[in-house]
Parts: sequence; C-alpha cells; structure tokens
Amino acid sequence: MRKLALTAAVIGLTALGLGVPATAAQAADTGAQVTGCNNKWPGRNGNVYAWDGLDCQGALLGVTAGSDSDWNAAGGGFSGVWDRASSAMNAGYTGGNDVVQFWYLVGYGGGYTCLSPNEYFADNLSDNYFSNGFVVDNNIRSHRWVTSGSCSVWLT
Amino acid sequence: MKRAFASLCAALAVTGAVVTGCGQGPDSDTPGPATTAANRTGPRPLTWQQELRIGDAQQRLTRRCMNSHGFAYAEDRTLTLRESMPVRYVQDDVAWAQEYGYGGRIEARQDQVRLHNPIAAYRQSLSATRRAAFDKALDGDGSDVQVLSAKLPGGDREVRTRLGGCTKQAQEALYGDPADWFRASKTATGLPALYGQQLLRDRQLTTAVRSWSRCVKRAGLPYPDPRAARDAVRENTARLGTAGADKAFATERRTAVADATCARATSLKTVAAARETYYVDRLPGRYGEALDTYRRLERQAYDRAVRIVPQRA
Repeated sequence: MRKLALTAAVIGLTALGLGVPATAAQAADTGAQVTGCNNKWPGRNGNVYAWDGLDCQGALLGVTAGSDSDWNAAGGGFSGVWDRASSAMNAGYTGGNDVVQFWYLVGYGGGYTCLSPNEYFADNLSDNYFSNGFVVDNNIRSHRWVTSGSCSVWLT
Repeated sequence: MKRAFASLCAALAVTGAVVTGCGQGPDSDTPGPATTAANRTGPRPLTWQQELRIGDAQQRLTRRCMNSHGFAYAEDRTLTLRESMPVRYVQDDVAWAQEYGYGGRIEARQDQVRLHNPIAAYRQSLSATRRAAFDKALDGDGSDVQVLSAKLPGGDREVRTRLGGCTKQAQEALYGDPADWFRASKTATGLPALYGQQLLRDRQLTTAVRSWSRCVKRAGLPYPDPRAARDAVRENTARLGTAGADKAFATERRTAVADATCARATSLKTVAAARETYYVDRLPGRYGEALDTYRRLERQAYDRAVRIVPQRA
C-alpha cells in the first residue's frame, strides 16, 4: 500500500505544477514521423486504451468505452493492471464527457491527470505528473470519463 | 451527461465559482450568490447548465456535419437536466441528494450507455472503405488537420492537440478560432494547479470543513471531509455488489443528505468560493486576461449553442 501525502489530495485540489520541462509529446501531426501510437490509432471508436510500454508498445493493458474504478478488479475493461501503464490513448467521441481522467488510486482517488479526445494519445507518461505530484508512469489504478471542465492537469 | 462522482467543480477546484460557474441547483440557469460574489468586473463565468448546452450543441453540429458526408451519427442526451448536475466537492442541494444520493446510479446508467454507444456500433458495421471515409469525415486527415499547442500555467509544459474534419468544424462554429480557444481554455482550466496547495491549507476553509465534519458526526457519520464520505460510500457500494444494491443506495442517499445538509448548515460553499476567489485574484495579471478571454469565448459559444439545441428537459 502506498504511503502518500493523502492530505494533499483530501479536497482533491490540484497540486502546484512541478515545472518539469516537457519533452515534446509525440502526438504527431502531418509530418513524416511515424510513431507506434500513430500506427495503433484505431479511428474514433469510443474507447480508451493503455499500454504497458512507451509509444503504445508492449502489452495492451485494457480497452473500454466505459469507466473502471479499479484496474486490478475484474470487469471494467482493465483487470490485474495496476501501476503498469506507460502510454494511453483516447479514441472517444467528442462533446459531453469526452475526456479520460486517470487516477493514482482506485475509486478515483489520490490525484488525477486528463487526456483529451483531441489530443488522441500520450505516448510517454514518465514525464507527466498527477495533480498530487506523483509521476503518472506505472501508477494508474482507475479511470473515468469527465468533461474538460473537470481537469486542470493534462497529459502532455 | 456522465456523472462526475465527487469530482471537483470545473477549473475552480472546489466550487467552480470563479473560472466556471456552479449553478445553484438543477433548475437554476443563473449563478448563485456565491458565484456572483466571486465575480470580478470581467465577464461572468458560465453555469454548469450552460456548459452542458454547449456540449450538446457540439454533438448536434458534429452530427449535422457527418450527415452531410452521408453518415449517421447519434447524439447522447440520455440524462435529464436535473440528473446532469455535477456533484462537486461541496454539494449542498439536499433535495437532489435525497433523490439521487451522490449520483451513483446515474453514473452506472451512463456507463452502460457508453458501453453500447450507437456511434461505435454503426461505425463497426461499415465496410473497411466506408469506415475509413467515416474517420476522415469525423477527424480529417493530412493537410486538413490543424495541430495546436499551448503552454500549461506554472511551468514549461506544453500540451498539443489535433483538430480536423467535423470535430474541428463543430468546435470552430461554437468557439471561433481553435488556437485562441485552445490556449485560453488550457490556461484558464490549469490555474487551480497554481494555488491548489495554498487553498488546501487555507485556515478559513479547513475551519469550515471541520465544522462540516462535526455536523455529520452528529448525524452518525464520522468523516473528516466530504471526500472521505464519498469514498466510503463508493467502497460500501462496491462491497455490497449487485445483490446488495438497494441497501447500498439507501446508504448513499442517507450519507449524501447528511453531507448536503451539513454543507448548508456550515455555509461551506460560500466559504470555499470566497477562499478560492481570494487566491485566484492574487494570480499574476496575465492569468486574469486568459481567464477573461476564456469566459468571453465560453459565453460566445453558449449564445451560439442556444440557437442550435434546446435545453435538456
């Protein structure tokens, strides 16, 4: 069980940004650069995806159009995959609750970060931090769909 | 509209009174006194009802555009206006809590809708060629795609987005220039990250939360804060499973009613809104400009949205 400064997340407020310089996200544009995530893009099918490796490589940890309050428990699209995700994709339909909110703890607790459907994917979670300051890489335990208004921390 | 179970009020971490408005209740279309008090001289923030309408308009515009390309495209208006009320950190609508608890059942229903999304089913039924055409119509490809980037407040972090096809058209029709909207929204909604820690430790807020805690304790619920109450309800519901669903919901309603009643009794929303305003007002001037731009563009989007879709029933 993680020991963490739960008080920092008691009200669920976002922590101060850590000011870590961002490496350019490889949400590639029309350039010739071809990335794993680009290749794995399935078209907008309503689902969220997460992979074990960077750049949407390695084991596909789960896929679902719904929410999952426990990435270990059976059901919900993700099971037995706490603390493994290193890249993620949002192929959800836009308008309404179209943002995926990833959480540090089960039951949408601890701290969060968001991935917009217009950003498509985050290929490297190791340079991203939850609202409670912990690195996102290998630390996701739950997710749900929200409106962009619920997010002040975004995956880059 | 999916429930945001115990989530935070929009870009304003606690009550949404400053960056985006939190309406008084499900039936109100005007900001409540806390929101009004929190306003500065700039444009007023939107209520959650107004933001919901913008989201609905976005879906409508996307559908129209897809239709014009020869594709069907379903809209999701499953939840009523009342059911769509976001449950923020401070939830003080007792009548709503009595009927919906924390919105757990609404959330579960919405999840089922997501899992059986008619758009996904339709897209899946298309031939490979048609599906590729569908994707191109929806999100564009090649030179049609616009790549945008924006700095997040508080550091050098940059977030990027890609817009094309009907998705881009719908957004443009509502918000105008995509780059302006992207920059303004990422800045404005990222502001809580700059003052979150301070607000968390704010003495007036923690005092009010302690009052809330003493109040719910008198009702037999020993929780230090609203977050703990909701976590406990969620865990209880998960533990009781399908077999104990009715019992779990009864507990949820009971807890939510005590939560809301005590929030009212301690004026928790007013205190939280006021304290958040205090910190927002102390942000550097350039953030105030971004905030005003964000609100102005949102209001413009809303004025357009009312001509595109009706309010939900």
